[in-house]
Amino acid sequence: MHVHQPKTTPPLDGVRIVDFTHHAAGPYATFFLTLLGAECIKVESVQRLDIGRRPHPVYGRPGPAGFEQPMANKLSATLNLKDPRGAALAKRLVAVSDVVAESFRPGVMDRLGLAYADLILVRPDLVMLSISSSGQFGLDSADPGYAPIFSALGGLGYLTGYPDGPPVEIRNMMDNVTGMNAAFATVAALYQRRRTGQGCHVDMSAREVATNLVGDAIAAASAGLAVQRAGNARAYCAPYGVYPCAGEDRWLSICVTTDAEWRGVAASLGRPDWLRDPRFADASARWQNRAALDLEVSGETAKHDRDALAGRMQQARLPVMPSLNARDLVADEHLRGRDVIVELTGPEGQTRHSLSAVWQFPAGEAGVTRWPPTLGQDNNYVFGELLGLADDEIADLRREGALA
Amino acid sequence: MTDELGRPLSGATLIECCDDAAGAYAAKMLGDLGADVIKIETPTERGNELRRQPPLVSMTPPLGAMFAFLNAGKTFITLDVGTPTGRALFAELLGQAHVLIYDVPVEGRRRCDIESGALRRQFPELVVVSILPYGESGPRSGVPAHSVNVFHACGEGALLPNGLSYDLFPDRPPLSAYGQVGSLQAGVGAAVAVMAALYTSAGGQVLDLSEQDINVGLSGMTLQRFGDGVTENRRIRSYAYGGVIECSDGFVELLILEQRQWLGLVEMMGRPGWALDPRLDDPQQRATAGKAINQHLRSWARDRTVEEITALAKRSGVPVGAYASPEDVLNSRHEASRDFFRPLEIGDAMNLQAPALPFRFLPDRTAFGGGRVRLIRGEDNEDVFLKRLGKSTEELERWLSTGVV
Repeated sequence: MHVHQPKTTPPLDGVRIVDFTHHAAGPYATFFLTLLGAECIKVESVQRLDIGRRPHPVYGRPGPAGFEQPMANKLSATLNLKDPRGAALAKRLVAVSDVVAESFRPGVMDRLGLAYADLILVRPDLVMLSISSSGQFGLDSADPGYAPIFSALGGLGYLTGYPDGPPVEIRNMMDNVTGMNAAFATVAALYQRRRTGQGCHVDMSAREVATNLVGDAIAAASAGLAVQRAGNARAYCAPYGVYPCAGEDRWLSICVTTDAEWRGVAASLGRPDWLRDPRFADASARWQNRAALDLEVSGETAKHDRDALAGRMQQARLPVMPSLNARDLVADEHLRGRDVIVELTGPEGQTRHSLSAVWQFPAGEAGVTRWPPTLGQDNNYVFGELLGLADDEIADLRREGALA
Repeated sequence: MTDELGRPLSGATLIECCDDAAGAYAAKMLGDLGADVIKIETPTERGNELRRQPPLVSMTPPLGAMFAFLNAGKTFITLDVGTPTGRALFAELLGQAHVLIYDVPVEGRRRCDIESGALRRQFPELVVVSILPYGESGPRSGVPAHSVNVFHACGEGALLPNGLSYDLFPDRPPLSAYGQVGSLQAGVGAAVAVMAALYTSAGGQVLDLSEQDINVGLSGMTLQRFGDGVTENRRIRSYAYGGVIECSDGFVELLILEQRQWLGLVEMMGRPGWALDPRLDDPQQRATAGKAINQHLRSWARDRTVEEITALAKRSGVPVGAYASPEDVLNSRHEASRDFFRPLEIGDAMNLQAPALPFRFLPDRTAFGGGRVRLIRGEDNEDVFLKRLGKSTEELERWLSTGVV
């Protein structure tokens, strides 16, 4: 049951972001900030379309995305930053905004005349967010990087995988958690600005996000302890892993960490004899005999429908969860009830599922309210209303290529 | 409210009552930015505690690496909130705090009279943050979960591994990312929510956070592809070429997304004849020929070291990253140039380190993180109960002997 609380405005209501980010980590950072109520103006250009607006065969995507999740909730304005008038307009936009976000390789914003040092001349208390693979300074800062690369550099890829297999690339999720860390840092910087009147330049390193996700292994390594890939296993816990259910590619995660949970699992799978088996008598024995235990558990789970079994075991308050795919997620009653996934309606009546209330804020303000914009959809609002340009000025700039 | 290190949360007090990694990690991030974090543990050991989860960085008493990483810099007290006196002391602590983060299960909250709504009414200015696997509300709210459950609850578990690992082992169970990544990611999300709550001028509020919700929030591409008509799975989510490439002494990740990077790859490999086929100038054709490209790439890489390939890639502008072990990361010259590792002070151990937060507030290059970890639970009891709450030594001794503290 939700606790009734007085209606409040979204946490970042009144915060305006000028968004030069592209690809994944940056756009997700600013997307998360819009979920918290910030207004985000995505600055785009036909000279350099963001990945969502063009095909990418290496991903198996023959055409551009019709719906780009991280573009939902945002406005789109087009500017040719290589045109001096475009760059000047960008600065005017920054002057009436709170945050600038970018995810170019370090040095690109400098070359465009939009470095932090340039922008604080127009907005002294600016919070600038720069997301890059290896950070704004350091030996590797100029190197390009994408999610699977910075998750490898940071140590997360090495530690993910089967014990007898190669490392595993971490893809979109690595971009997104980088974006979420960046959202944290940005709100912290805004909080600091509220108290001191001073902004700052947030230097977010994606590979350092990966390293924090394996921070325990780093601490262990500093103590001389080697940590290796372990699949789904957790030391001294068994059964702890992912087990097959009836049908193709249907899996159930079962994570027993106490004797009480073990008894519950044995009962749910109709195997009270396991509780009398000395191989599985306590946590230590179950760990020693985990290979045999996993075979036994798999033999039982494979007889059952995944969702029916999970439902019974969750009713018994056991730590089990199906390995959900996208179809499962959008059908999930619990998630829909919490507005985590909603159905958006587009300008032509089309509908799509979208992320929304990732956080449950009072009175439910944190969420998605807008369909992704078309390229330059909000030019009139941005250049007319926010910057006060007359219609004929906007038309001239468009004709001369400054708004392209 | 900032201190000499430029930490924004100096002066904010946060009470953390978390057994699991998600809430503890959120509190760590906020503590690294200057918040005074008081961590409440139970007075006696229970089974399966994070403190004793291996690998152990201290043996006497046992202290796990994950516990050390999550809890450096916090103030450690013991308290049984299930007793009337414990509940009253908890209320006194909350009365002096700005934030509570807790993961006490829903049933336990009712028993101890610490449900979030009740706390919100008693402490109108307090930000009450509940972090549970599936949240406080909804059909699944009372179900327990550990990190692997959470990772598989968000859609990403069904997609790992893909690429080389899936090619080698297509019949094996899907994977979670390493360790407790699902819970740590939820902790990052919780930290965002707390920071946003502190930023508002709305005063106290209850945040009902779910580890699953936050991790689903990190699975946007999966949802997007579903809307495109594709339910992704491990088999089809694979780069057409590139990915995990085995070298003579390890692995690298290679990913080509731009035309100039492909041209750089061709140069890097010494312009072999197969790569000069004009059809491969077209990205669509390259995707179609991906298997063949990978065969050539893997054969070329097998005879070269990680270091060699990384150096060649850097010169040619090809995006490549070595699969670094924790030791490699600790010894990284790049991270040394960023002063990225912070000391962990645990007993007499001199060499322990942990990564700092993954960002700086430039122009100041200060890295945030690290600190002291208490080996014995409740080591800061006197500091908190006697100095901060003004209790007497006799009271504290009585509470210690009766298990309240």
